[in-house]
Amino acid sequence: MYQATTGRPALHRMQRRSGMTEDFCCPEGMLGGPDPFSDTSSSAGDDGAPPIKPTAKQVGRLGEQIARAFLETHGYTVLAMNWRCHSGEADIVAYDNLDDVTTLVEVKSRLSEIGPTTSFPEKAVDRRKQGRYQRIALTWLAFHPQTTNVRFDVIALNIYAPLCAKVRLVPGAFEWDE
Amino acid sequence: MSGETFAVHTAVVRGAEALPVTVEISLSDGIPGMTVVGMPDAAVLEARSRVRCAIASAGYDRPRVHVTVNLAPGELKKKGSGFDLPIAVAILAATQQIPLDGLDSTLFVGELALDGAVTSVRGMVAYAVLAKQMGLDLACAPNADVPESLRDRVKVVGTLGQLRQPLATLEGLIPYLERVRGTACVALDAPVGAAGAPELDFADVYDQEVAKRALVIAAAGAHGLLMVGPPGSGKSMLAKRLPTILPPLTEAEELQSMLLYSVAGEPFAGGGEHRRPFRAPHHSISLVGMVGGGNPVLPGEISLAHNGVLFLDELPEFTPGALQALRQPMEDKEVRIVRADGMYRFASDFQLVAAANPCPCGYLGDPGHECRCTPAQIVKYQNRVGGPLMDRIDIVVNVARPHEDRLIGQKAGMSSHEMGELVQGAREFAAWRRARDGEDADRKGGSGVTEARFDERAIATLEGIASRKALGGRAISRIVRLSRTIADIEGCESVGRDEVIEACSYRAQDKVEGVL
Repeated sequence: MYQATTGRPALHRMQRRSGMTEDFCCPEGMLGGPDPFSDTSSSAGDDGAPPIKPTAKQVGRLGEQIARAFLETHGYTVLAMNWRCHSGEADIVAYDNLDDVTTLVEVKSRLSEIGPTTSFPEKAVDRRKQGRYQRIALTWLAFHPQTTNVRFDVIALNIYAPLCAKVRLVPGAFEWDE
Repeated sequence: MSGETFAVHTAVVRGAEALPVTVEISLSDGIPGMTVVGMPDAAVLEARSRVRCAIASAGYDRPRVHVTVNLAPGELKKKGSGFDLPIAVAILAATQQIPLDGLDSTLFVGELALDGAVTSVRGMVAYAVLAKQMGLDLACAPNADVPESLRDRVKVVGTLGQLRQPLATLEGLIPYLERVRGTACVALDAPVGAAGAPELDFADVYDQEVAKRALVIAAAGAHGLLMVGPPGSGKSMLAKRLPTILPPLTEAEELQSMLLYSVAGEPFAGGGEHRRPFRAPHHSISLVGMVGGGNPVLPGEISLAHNGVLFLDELPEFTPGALQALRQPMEDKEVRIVRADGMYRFASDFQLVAAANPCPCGYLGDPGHECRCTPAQIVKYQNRVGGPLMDRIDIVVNVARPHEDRLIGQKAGMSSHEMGELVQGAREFAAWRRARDGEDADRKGGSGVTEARFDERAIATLEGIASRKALGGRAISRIVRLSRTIADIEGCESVGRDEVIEACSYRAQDKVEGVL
């Protein structure tokens, strides 16, 4: 009873991936879809008229594309974008090759000026959002029996240029406590 | 979804005892997180965050797996923060980050700070007692207060990081006194008359030789005592000095008291000096504060005064509920508190010492002041204490205002040392007498006149007083017991006439009738 019953070493499930903050500019061609505000930024530069503010949806889509490029250049393999199930939608499902774990990534994006960070988009990942991700994770595990364990990551982006953002990756941002 | 499991011994405090609990953990794949089952309360659930942070800041790896924590037995409610350390130890052991040697023969108790430091929790003495009963080592925080007799198998875990070394290399506990002497906060928290006790002396109280005599008798025979007198006559001064003449605590008594203080979460100031506890609760005390209770159920003042003195200043100001609740514990020497989750027992073998003014204004019977109370007010005030409780107080003594000449002239009477010798002598004589007559001689039914060895004149005097005053059975047996204690102080094998007369002078009814 007081002996550890080990099938395999437990340490392989320790987290090696650590959090990071990085100024990241998406290389040309890595952006999945059309740049949502390439038109708005160019028109603002041309005639000096105030730039048209992109909608929250546009910012979100752009953020997800930048996050995808960021993950792919940092040792993740993206498995699915905007994976939907009855519990909700996971922004990115990726496989972390460093830790051998499937991660469900929530992307939070805000437009901001270049310079010191003043807004923290990751604060918006509240209890309700975490609960939704936990249910999504259960569904993912049900649909993918080969997946044994998952992790919840958060990527926060302060987008200051059409393809550039200050990126903060928080691996294992939250857990499921009962 | 198979995984590692591990189990660690711990315990939970319920009432005045610790009950064994096993922390079982299972690591499984799936969604990372921690699930705690086994009737945890909010403080136990919060252990999840503390354990996570402490493991990380002590430099260990935190497993990215689902941790299921089971606190067995499942039917017992788990309260408090002492489960932090055993949960962390189980996780570290299951993930093979600490050596396993000795873990199965150790009971772990402690709360974790976020930096991985271990702090002690309420009831460490109870945990130590349980560990000794179960034959286990106790691993706890360096600031735990464990009495000397239980300290030999205690291992100190200062921080979670120290568990990387084998348990056998951990240090023992630093003796209680060495630590207490250096800290000012313990002295501040200590009950009145305990920490500052060496300075208290009966020689400081002038012109109260009658009251001092009554206190000697009360201390010698563990009789209940009520001091009645006007404000400023020195009732509280006298009561605070009572512990200085009581015999020191025996080792077993000290362990009982330390256990009760420990589960109540209070420092035991008498530790090491064998000084008896002295509790002086304010008269606003609630019923639960007096006898114990609450959630979690903690011992009350009567249990903290176990083996010592419970001093109730301004006795009639106490709520009737709190006062009448004293009756049963005084008889049984323990209090049984029944709550939804069962019964709790706390020892409560205390000596009751009370002080009261004779009337609302306080000057009834004082030659220097006029009492302005109406007879109805006086009766109402005196009735607040209630007959049944007064029945259990053997000695009532008038404490008059000291005479100005003797107060200013500082004419010291008996000192604590002299009084303490009288008490010690009386207790030794009584013990010798009991050994000769058999242990139960004092507790037989009837008046006990034969067992107490009254001589003929004493019996005649007692009969005369009993018939004149129409004394009942309880009153007579009380006079007999009191006379016997007085004879013990004199060192007399038989009780004479003088002892009986002195014992009768301490009766409550005569006081009231006398002054009205």
